[in-house]
Amino acid sequence: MLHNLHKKRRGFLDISFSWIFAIIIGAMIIAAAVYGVSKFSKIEETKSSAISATDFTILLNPLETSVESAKSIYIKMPVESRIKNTCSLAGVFGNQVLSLDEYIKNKWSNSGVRTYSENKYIFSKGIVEGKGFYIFSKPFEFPFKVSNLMYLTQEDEKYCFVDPPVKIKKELIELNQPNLKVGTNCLNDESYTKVCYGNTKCDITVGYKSKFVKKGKDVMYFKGDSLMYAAIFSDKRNYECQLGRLMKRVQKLTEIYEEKALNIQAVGCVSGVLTDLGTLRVLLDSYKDSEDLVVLENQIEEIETINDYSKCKLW
Amino acid sequence: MIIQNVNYGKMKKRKGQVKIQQMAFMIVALTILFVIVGLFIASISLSNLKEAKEIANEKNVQTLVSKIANYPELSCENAFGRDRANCIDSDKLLALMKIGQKDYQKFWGVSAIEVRKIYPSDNTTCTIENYPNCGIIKLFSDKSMGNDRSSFVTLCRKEGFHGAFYDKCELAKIIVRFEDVK
Repeated sequence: MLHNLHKKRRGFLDISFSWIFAIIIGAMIIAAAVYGVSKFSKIEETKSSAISATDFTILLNPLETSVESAKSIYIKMPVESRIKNTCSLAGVFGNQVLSLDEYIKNKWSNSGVRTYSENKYIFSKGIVEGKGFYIFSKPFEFPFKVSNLMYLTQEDEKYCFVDPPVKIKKELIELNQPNLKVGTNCLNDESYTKVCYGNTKCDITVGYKSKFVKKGKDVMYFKGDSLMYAAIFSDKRNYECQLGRLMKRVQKLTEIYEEKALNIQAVGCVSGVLTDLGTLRVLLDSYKDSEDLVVLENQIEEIETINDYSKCKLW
Repeated sequence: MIIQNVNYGKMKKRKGQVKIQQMAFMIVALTILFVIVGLFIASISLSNLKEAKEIANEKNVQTLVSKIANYPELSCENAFGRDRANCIDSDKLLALMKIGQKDYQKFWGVSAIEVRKIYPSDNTTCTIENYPNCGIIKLFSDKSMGNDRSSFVTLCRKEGFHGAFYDKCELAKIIVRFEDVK
């Protein structure tokens, strides 16, 4: 009877040690394989996002204009994409930092991979999301050409420019970018962000003569149309940071023009702007934010006038 | 008559031990197989990544070479009568050679930029001393090997003649080099 009971007990737990060992190790191998595959697919997603972000940055190279006053392109991404636009002031020229997440398998890839570019200035909201994007570029002169500024907007982000100056109106019509409308027809359409020149009851107010753009509580100052667009399409943080980077570039270009002016004096080409360029370089040392543009304005205009009427033009 | 005292319990235990050993070997072999397969996939993925980086580099240089002459650091702007496209101001290049050209290497993300006069041809490398009597202007002449792309440009400068100056423009080629992915 005791023997039978012993047999019954063995039957109840009749799994040998080798089986238990195999099951545990097998489960561990399967778990490791599942972990490996998920990790691998995450790496692939990150890789894809990094490649897309790099390609996106490269696609902006042709926007470096020569004689054109403005240029617009449309970029369609293969999948829904989220572009995070940040900026850093570290280094000689600062950095344009872009990261791109893709909407794959019903979730955002969240790769966190950033692409850095020292020679690009993209003005946009912090996060731009969609499948299609419009980018238009316009040269920034201060007083010489400094760079092309790029304004990034998502396809469904529409702007309505109400009563802009004739010059701006003409430029926007010629640009023919579908998400930028001019006139009063779009004024009552809720889907548009209203940009008004003078009227203060709009989403964005532009003081064209006083050279400021007001967005809610944020006020950004500008000099020239390219910076006006920059202030309209970007948030204050991005605008001030990119402007800081631009001023670093102006400083470097001022050095180049000073050096050039000294070199060509030897062949009898004397430019009158040499002293003023030195003053501009000193003024730029104390640049903090867009409010300081007022301080630089007089110097810039003086340099521009001297160079324009000089027999020996530096630019 | 020899009576063998066989201990069946011990034999069973030894048999079990052999089985466990077999299984352990099997598991080790299986793990090694998985690791090898994993390494193989990882190496393919890494080589794909390298290839993608190379393609990106090439695309960047291809688009950059056609537009680099329009960057204000190199371009003629209005200094030579009118606004010209694909025109390089060699006086600016010399100025760039003198002041922090290294800063611009990272700025354009290339390993070297070279501007060669095509007509009239001259194989002398420009220095601050021999300029403008030379034919090759090198910016950040990196010794590392790499691929390059080139584009035709106009190379202009101010030239002196009997106390007066005039604009002199020549045909040149801009060569942009990028490093191979290691």
